[in-house]
Amino acid sequence: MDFDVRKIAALAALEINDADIPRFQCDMEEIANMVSELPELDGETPIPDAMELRSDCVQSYPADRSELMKNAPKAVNGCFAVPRTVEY
Amino acid sequence: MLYERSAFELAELLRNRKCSAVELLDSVKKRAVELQPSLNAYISFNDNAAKAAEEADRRLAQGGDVPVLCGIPVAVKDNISVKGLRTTCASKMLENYVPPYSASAVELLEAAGAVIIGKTNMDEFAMGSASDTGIFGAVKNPVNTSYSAGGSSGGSAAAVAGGAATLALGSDTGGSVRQPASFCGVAGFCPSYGAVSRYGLIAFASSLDRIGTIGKNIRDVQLLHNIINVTDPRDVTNNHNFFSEHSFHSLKGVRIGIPEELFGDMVSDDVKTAVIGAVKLMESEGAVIHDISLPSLSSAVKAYYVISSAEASSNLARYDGVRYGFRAEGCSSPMEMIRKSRTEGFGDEVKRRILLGTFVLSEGCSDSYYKRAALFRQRLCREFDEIFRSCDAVVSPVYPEAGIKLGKGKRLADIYSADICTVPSSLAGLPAVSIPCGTASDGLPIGLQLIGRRYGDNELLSIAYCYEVAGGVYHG
Repeated sequence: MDFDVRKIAALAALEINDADIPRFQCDMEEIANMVSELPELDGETPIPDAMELRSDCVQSYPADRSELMKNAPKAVNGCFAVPRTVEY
Repeated sequence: MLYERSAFELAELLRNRKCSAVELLDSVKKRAVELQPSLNAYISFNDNAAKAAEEADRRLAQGGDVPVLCGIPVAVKDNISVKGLRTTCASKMLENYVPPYSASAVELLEAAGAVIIGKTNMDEFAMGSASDTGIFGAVKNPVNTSYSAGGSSGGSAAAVAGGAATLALGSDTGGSVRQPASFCGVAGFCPSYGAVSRYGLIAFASSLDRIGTIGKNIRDVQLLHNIINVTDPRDVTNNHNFFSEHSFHSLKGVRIGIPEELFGDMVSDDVKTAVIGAVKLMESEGAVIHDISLPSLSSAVKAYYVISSAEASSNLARYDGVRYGFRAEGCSSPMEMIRKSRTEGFGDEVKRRILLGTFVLSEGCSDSYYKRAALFRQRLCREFDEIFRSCDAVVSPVYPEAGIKLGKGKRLADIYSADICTVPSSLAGLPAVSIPCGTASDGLPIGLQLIGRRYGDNELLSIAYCYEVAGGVYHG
């Protein structure tokens, strides 16, 4: 079973440091091997999902903005702040 | 002592003014604080619990149509949002997260006058079988503290078993209510998919996640379930159109299916003996026992880990350190911040599930893993539907062993494979309940699992109750 931990971690926005790579490699190969033996299901076709979705529209929300912002790791002038994205 | 009593007994005492909600909370809270160093069942206690108990006493004093749950102390698993109360999922990622809203289930409990005593310990993001993957340390079994309380709702089960809560909410994705209930010797109910709104439950695997109830006996879990079993448009999967009100009043004529696949070599002798003893008891009470076969059961664990991990990798993509949750320090770009926050914020088990989920959904793999698992799930559902044409319930162990010794290293594949008894009904969306049915030679409790037909929650609980009063291990 080929499981490229670095490649999959990059896709998942995770970093696995060099020291931990062998451990994760071993774990993930073991797990991927375990799940790889699912039986072939010839003739089985997917049933369309019958779930009725709610309409995608804006709804009023009871909490005010300042309450929501209390969980923000960093806020500036009532907005979420992140490291600079554009060099100038 | 008040903390030892069942919710039904306490409800009667409260109504007859033999005790007050404040006295009850005091008894249960003292017990919880006393047990905390040895069990580690709670992550935080609710500072507003005393006020809620006083309010419950006012409602009880007024009389009239007061809900049965009024004044009863209930613990809530720490992945179910309670407004203003830290909700961590036992993860560094949400260590300081305080929800600005409550889960629907919590709103319903509070409206019924329940007293939320605190938030219970668990596996990180509910991923694990021993409540030992979270940042707050392992939850220990009240029966023997060298054993795990089970997982992922280990804190909820240990709290109820130890008297540190009268009732508790847990979440069950692949057995996380039933397995810890079995380990701790209490009852745990996972309802049909769609019965209870998950609004406010922090998502792990959305096509599998359910909110379940834990109590000292079946009447208690049903009491709590009935309060939260309410239609809610905020969860689109919440569906009350097809639920049956049918119930049994005795075991006479109840058709019980015994799937050979769940009584194989992987099940320990102690567990097999206890569960078969329970089946014999049912038979002596008039139940009709059928040997059945569900050929897909043997591959259910594989499909479960593919589907649940795929959904987890998608659900947990929201943790980026921007709007809430942990953010790593010293990052010079948004992408670096997201990567480092996730890397430092998640523990190893959560990372493994995200990696597996990303892998099975990646280009070139999704057909052979995710789509195949989804098709397999359909086939399993059909097999169950077929079985329930001639059976009213399916009986199995909850877990192959009576317990999990803490600190004992095991292969990951073996740990995952041990979920074989609980994941089939999870994949099929069926209701299932764990009831104590005996003890192992080392004194650990053993649970019996009863699986019911889709939307037959009432019927399933009635069968479980009939078993319990017929001579199953019964508390209160």
